[in-house]
Amino acid sequence: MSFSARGVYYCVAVAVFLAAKLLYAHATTANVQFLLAPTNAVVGLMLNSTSEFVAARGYMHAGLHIVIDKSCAGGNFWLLSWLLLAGTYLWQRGRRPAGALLGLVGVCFGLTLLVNAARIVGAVWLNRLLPAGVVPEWLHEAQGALVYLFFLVASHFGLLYLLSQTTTSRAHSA
Amino acid sequence: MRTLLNPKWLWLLNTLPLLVLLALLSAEYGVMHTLLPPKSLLLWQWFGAVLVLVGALHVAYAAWLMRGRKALPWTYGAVALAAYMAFLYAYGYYLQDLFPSDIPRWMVPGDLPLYAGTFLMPTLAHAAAVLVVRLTPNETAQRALPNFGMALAVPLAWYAFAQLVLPLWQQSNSQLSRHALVILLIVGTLAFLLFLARGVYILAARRAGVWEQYQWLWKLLIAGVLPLLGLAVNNGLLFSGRGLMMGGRGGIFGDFMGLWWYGLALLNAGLLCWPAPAGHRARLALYLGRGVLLSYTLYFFLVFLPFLPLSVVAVAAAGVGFLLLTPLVLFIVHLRELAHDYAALRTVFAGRWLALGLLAAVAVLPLAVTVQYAYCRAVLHNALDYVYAPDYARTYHRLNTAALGKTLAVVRHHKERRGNSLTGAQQPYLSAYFNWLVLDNLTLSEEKIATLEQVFFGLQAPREPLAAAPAASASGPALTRLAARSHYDARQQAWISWLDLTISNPDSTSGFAEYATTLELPAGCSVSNYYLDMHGRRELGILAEKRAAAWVYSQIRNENHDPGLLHYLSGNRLALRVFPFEARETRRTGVQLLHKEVITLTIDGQTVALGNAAHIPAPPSAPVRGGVAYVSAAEKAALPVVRRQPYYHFVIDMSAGKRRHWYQYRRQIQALLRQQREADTNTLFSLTNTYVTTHGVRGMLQVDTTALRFEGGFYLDRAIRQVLVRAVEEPQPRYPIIVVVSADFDRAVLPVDFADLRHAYPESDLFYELTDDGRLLPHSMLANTAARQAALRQPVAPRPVVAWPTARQPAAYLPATTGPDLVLTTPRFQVPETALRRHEWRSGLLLQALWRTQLHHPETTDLAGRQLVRYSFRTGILTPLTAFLALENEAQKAALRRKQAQLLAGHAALDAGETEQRMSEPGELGLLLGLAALGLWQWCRRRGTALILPLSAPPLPPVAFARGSNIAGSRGRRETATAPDACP
Repeated sequence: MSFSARGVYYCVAVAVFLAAKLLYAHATTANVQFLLAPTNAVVGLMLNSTSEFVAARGYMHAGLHIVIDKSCAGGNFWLLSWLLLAGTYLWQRGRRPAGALLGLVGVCFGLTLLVNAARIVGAVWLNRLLPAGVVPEWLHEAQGALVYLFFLVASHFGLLYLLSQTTTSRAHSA
Repeated sequence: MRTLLNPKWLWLLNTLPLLVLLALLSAEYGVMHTLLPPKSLLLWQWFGAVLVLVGALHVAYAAWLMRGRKALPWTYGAVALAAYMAFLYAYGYYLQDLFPSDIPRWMVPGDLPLYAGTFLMPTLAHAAAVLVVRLTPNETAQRALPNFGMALAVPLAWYAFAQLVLPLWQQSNSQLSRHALVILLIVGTLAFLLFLARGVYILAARRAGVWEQYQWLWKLLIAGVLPLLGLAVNNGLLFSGRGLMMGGRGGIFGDFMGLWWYGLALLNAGLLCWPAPAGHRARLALYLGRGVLLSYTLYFFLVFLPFLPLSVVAVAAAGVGFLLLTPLVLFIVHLRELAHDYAALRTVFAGRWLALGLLAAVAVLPLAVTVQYAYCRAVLHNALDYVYAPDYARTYHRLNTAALGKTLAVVRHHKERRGNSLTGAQQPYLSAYFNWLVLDNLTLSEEKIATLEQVFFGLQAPREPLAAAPAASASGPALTRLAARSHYDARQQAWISWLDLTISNPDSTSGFAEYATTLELPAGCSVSNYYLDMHGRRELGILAEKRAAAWVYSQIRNENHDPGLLHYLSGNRLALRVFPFEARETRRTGVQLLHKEVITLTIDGQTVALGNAAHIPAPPSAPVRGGVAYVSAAEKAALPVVRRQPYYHFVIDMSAGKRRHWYQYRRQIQALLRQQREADTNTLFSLTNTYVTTHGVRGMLQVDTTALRFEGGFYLDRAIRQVLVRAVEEPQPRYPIIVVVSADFDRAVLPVDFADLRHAYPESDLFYELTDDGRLLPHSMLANTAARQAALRQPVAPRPVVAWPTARQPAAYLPATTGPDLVLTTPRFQVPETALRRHEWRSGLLLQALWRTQLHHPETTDLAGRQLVRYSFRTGILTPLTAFLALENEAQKAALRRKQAQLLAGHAALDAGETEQRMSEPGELGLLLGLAALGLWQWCRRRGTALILPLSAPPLPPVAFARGSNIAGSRGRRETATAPDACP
């Protein structure tokens, strides 16, 4: 693939990312139900907690004193991980970039559900470990950032590994 | 000038302004999108998407050009100009749909529709410059005059068109003809600007000939005469009757009246016209001097940039319209001179040092402005701290009142918005910078400015009349039914009661009436909820920061929509306001109260009992926990009654101009003490002007009269508060009788009341003014402190008080009344957040104790105030720093949140009415930084590998490259592409 063709893909990826960010910024809790509902299901399963959906608030876990709303839907992670993996794929000159970029949307969606649920469960555990009321905001922020960064880096290297494996097997078969 | 062909400029002139524009529009869209009709929503999304798309294309195009080391072609200029003009045209065409007239004006900044033009103008100007440079090759000799002629022809053609063709054109009123007219206008403007810029460019590029020979002349014209003429015209010194002055101070483009503006214009002209000196040092000095003034030129260039398209109309319509173009031309000339200096100095000095020097020079004026503003901020904040967050135990040093006076003048000057200039600001950009740096984007109310002026300068302001208690007028909305619903919560051993008010507007003619009333709560009673019925639904109140709530209420009231507001006035007095009432309309509102005992409340003459003593046993006395005690009515009735000894505390007026009254003051005081037969050694004297200095009898005898300072205002408020706080924090078997000695009491700085400190004067709620003839004029501390009551020969008899917890070791003296009371047992009361529960009576009590602590120690306002607001949100209980506000729609709530975030800078994450913790995602900035660090690490690693591998290792086989392509560095990447083909 030529440099200019790759450049077009990069531009498209960035434009799609920015446009999706714009849309996501203006979405409501109801608009991101497709992300919230499965995330809430995974969280409920992992923490053995039941929730109630309140349209104006989100999924409220009364027993855990937490609410899962748009701000914790994982949309930002979804977009960021897609951009990262799309960039990685293009940089490594993967085959059929158009199809791969589309496929990565689904892959990142699944990844987001798991990572976001892990982040929320970690935050709840943090609340349980430390005395009530003493968990500062920055600790939650740091915990979330740590989980996200770990999975972003892991997925980046995972994709690199997969691509190198694919290239190697193609080289051998050729 | 040819440097403008560098594609990097696109990132600076297009990407950056576009990002700012998108951020600003996005923030405003977030506020008002719920009020927009579907068509407007769609348009917003389309315009947003187009902006994102063209921005991304610019970024990619610039990157592509840079990679190929190519300059911007003329086609870029043409395409960018056409595209952005089309965008702006479409934007202007749909402006009414993007900003429908039914969006309340207060929700969005007035100049929001102009943002697009302002932030896209750099791209347009740059695209035009690219066209000019590309169409003016250096190789061929170009003539400037034909370009100026063509530029001049455009307004002339327009003039002729307006006189001859337009009257006929107006006959045809079709959509197409209107479009054609606008497009003609745009094309004409564009042609005018292009020819003009090309002419100036050719002129500036000339290095020989008559232009070069007489360059001082045209430079003097462009850098000296025209800017000074422009300043004079804008400021109304010339053609003042032609409409450039819009009333008030300053002209249509801003207030540039100060001599600094003229001085800098002269200096700039001098430096630009100065012939190039032969010596390198002198040339360097000239280069740096021109660099310093570049920010001045750049400022006016930016100010006038949005108005450039108007220049052709201005030239055609008014003789002085060409002055609009001066900043553009001056900017080009200034850059040209700097470029020549740079080229000449480059032979002697290193380029990076010259660039660094220029950068430092350009920063001089902005830094000077910043330093001046920072000093204004420091002085203003010191003064505000002294008045609004004082430490009563601290001795204050005198503030620089001269600097404060100047700062207040600047603040007032910058406050005078709207009506003076086209941009709405006194000085475009600088006013916004001042408001951000000095005032944190807030404002200083006229009331506060007046108070500061009274305190520090003794400037007399009309005495504030008593703020009439908001009560229903005879013809306005009135309370028609008052009911209560109570239930006893055995868990917290307290009552939870709803007070339901039914209000009707009997007037059949007037719409938009407001209902306002007040309500006195007993100690230990808190407000935990509020509702207002609107449009058939019950809207619960949002607990918000009080200033934000009051601002939003007043804005909504101006728009005649549906708000309700509940907040504390002073002490335990609540104010309730509901708006609007249409003719004969009945509305319902209610307040939820938490209280320990059965209480009786009175509103507008109607009385209601909350709780039922018959059903619930008398509450046990609450134990003293954590530094606060609730003394119930029954418990108080059992306490011992005591009578404390009074002593006089004289507050003496030492404000400016009162020195001549000093001996008269002494005679008055001696006469009173003789008359009362008082020779009490406990008598205290507070010498009061801006500051308060307190002496005992002995100290007063030692005061050097000649060294006394009589200056500033008579800050009686501060003196009385100090006396009261000291009396309550150090309970003694004596109590103060405050006597004010002043030759001009009406100039004293006084609050409306001292009701918030009523617990500090249980014996008497009066202070006295000493008259010339030795009589005492009582003033109430509970209401309208300035009002005089009938003169007395001696102070009124004190009320009995009770000592708590015992008469032998009293921690507090309480009025011997039937109501409950609150006592602080530690002076610096603190509450851990974990001790607070939502809608719990005990939490309400703790919040009241916190507020009382803050009253005694206002120096903690900054931190404790924010903490109290946060605790209020956490518990859902009203405090004097918060307010309940019932709002009609989501857009109003968004506006409230935005204002609140501004007011609670640093505490923007606070969210009213929320108990559950949100599991929000972490900020993306941290993630992006983390990823950037990862990328950098990988890049460094690859670079290292790429450098080391060729030296130390034999070339890897293609398969090995493929396997390790991700870590093999740039060399690996390059070879990976060919690896599959190369492999057998």
